Amino acid sequence: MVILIWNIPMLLKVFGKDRFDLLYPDFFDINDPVISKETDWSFIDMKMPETPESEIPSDSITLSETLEKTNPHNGSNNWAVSGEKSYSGHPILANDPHLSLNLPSIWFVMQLATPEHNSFGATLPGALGIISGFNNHIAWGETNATRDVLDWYKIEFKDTTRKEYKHDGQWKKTTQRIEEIKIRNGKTLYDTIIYTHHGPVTYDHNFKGDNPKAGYAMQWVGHMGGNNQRTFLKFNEGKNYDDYLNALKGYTAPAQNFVFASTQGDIALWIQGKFPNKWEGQGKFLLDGSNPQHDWQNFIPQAFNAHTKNPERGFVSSANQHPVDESYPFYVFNDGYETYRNRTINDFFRSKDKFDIQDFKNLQNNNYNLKASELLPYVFANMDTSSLNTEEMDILNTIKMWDFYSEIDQLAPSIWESWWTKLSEIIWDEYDADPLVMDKPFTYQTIEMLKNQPEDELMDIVSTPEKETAKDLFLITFKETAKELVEWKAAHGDYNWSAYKATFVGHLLQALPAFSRFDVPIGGDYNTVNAASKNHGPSWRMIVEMTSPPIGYGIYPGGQSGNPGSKYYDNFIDQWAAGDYISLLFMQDQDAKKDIMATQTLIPNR
Amino acid sequence: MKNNLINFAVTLIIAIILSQFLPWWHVMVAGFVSTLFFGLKRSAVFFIPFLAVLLFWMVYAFWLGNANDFILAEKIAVLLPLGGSWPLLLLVTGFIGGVAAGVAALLGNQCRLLIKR
Repeated sequence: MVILIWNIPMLLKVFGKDRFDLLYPDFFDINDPVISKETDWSFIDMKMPETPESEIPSDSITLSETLEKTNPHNGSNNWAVSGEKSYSGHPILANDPHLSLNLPSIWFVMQLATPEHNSFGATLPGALGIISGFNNHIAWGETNATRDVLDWYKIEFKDTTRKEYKHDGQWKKTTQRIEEIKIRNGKTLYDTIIYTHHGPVTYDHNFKGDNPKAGYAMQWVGHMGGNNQRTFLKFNEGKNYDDYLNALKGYTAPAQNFVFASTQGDIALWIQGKFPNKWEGQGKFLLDGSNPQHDWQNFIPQAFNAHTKNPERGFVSSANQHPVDESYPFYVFNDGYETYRNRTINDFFRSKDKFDIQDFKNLQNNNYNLKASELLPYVFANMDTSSLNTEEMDILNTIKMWDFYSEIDQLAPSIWESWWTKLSEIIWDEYDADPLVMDKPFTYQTIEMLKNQPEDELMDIVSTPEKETAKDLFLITFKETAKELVEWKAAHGDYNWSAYKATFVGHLLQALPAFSRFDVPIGGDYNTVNAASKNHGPSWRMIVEMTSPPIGYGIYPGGQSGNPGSKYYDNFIDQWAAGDYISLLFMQDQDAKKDIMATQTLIPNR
Repeated sequence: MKNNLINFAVTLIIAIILSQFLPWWHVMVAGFVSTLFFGLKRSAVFFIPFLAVLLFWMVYAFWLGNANDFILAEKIAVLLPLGGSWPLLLLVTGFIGGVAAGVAALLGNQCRLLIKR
């Protein structure tokens, strides 16, 4: 759903199908999927839905804008190594969800113990049980699976009363639901939502559209409900792989990569959610709401969801990358899967035989900038530097010397950040004319285009009379970068990565300076394993070794208290930035006294 | 001089006692009542209750702030903004209380003159 392409005739006129597939491939040419390529899918014996031959519908309404999208930096890492790959013979599991950096903290750490169970880990206000953690038997963690579970259908109404819509050659009745929205000190607003069997009509002439006889209906797995909290409650009391599998079976949305390790020695990863079984290409474009072949035909049976248990390679991992490779029988739309963190992680686990806790800590804090390393050597080899002045040459030489680690004391990561930001905007300037037509190609494909299609017509800057190529874009944006950094230096001093990035952990009220933390010295950017960008990053880092009982380490950018007057409000931030961890005190005895700072006893009022 | 000392002590005691029951304006009641009964001359009418409450609020704020190592006081000093200096925040706190008490004392003094006439 995410490539919102409303205007297909125009799109095809501009690009054509081959061009479209070049810019938006279903699979990037490198792919190190969540479920490894070696996986045998022969157990999936199911007829796949056929792609209908009908035309892609053209749009019937003009939108003023589209719905806001989620933060593209929302992502996470998780992984686990088997006993054979672990220094101690016990599996080790890690998880670090990447979210915006907020105070009070998004997460807090908790131990939940009853006479029957005992679990420990990070959880969210309002959630039941531990979300990312462990108990005496198993450990679990999540990353977002970014799977496409939302499609748009073009709806044609019979008349402006919108009581009937076209489907399967006949007029079918819509249902109306009146939403009552109470407004403080004002009149209650009544909003009529029109439902088709696809889902609610979201865009219409009342909302960002213009045609009273047409609309776009949203079909979304999230509207179908389900008890997703139960999954986590069952994890909390789980004892083995079967309990884990049983717990996640009913989970629907948003789809997650659930990593697992147990004291019995199992490791696993299931990509779990309720996934429509789509025909090839379904949902890539606007769907025809009147054509029954465009309906979701059925769902992928849960047992056929991509998963792996105790793989031969001895580790499982996910970092929001493509879930599978081409051999997975079901259609998986390329929703802009991450292409850098996963390769750094997997390459690391392929690099040696045994891993210990320090390796895990180092990996979670790894700032290797694979993205920069894949583009910059090509740029250095192809950019014409003859017109650069001394100041610009100095800056170029600085970034040429870079080892591609985005560390806080380096200048090169700042140069790269500024340069890439400008380059990625200028290459797709064609899209700025009509930003609603579709999303710009994904980062990986952008770099591929720069390297492999440097003379492509899209490299041209529309507003200039000259015909630019990739080489010209490198030089133009480099000169702008040099200018920006020289000015930055004059205003703020040295542009080392820490100062230039200026990571902050902001209070919920518009990052109120008094209650926020600024200039946190942490390396990395949104494509490094340590995905710390300006106001986004690893919001909880956890490592668990599956001894009996398990030994855990954790840290997060905040504190256990939500009170800005408490020293526990933000006391973990410095340790988090430095890559340090706290040993988690997983108490085995309810009367334990060791390391207890305070106790509070709640007695029911009889 | 003796009057000044008595007024100072009375303002302080009334303010401390009333602070247990009333919101911030207890200092105004204290300033008003003390000058109503213990008259002062010229600028002392304002400044004696001012100093009494300044002292009271600064000490009280110090005591409150000290309980969490002035973490919150420093943050409020960023919010106001006072450059994050908690001693400055205490001074501002005392000053505001003192002005309130002093103004109320001026009113108390006028009332005392009305009654005497």
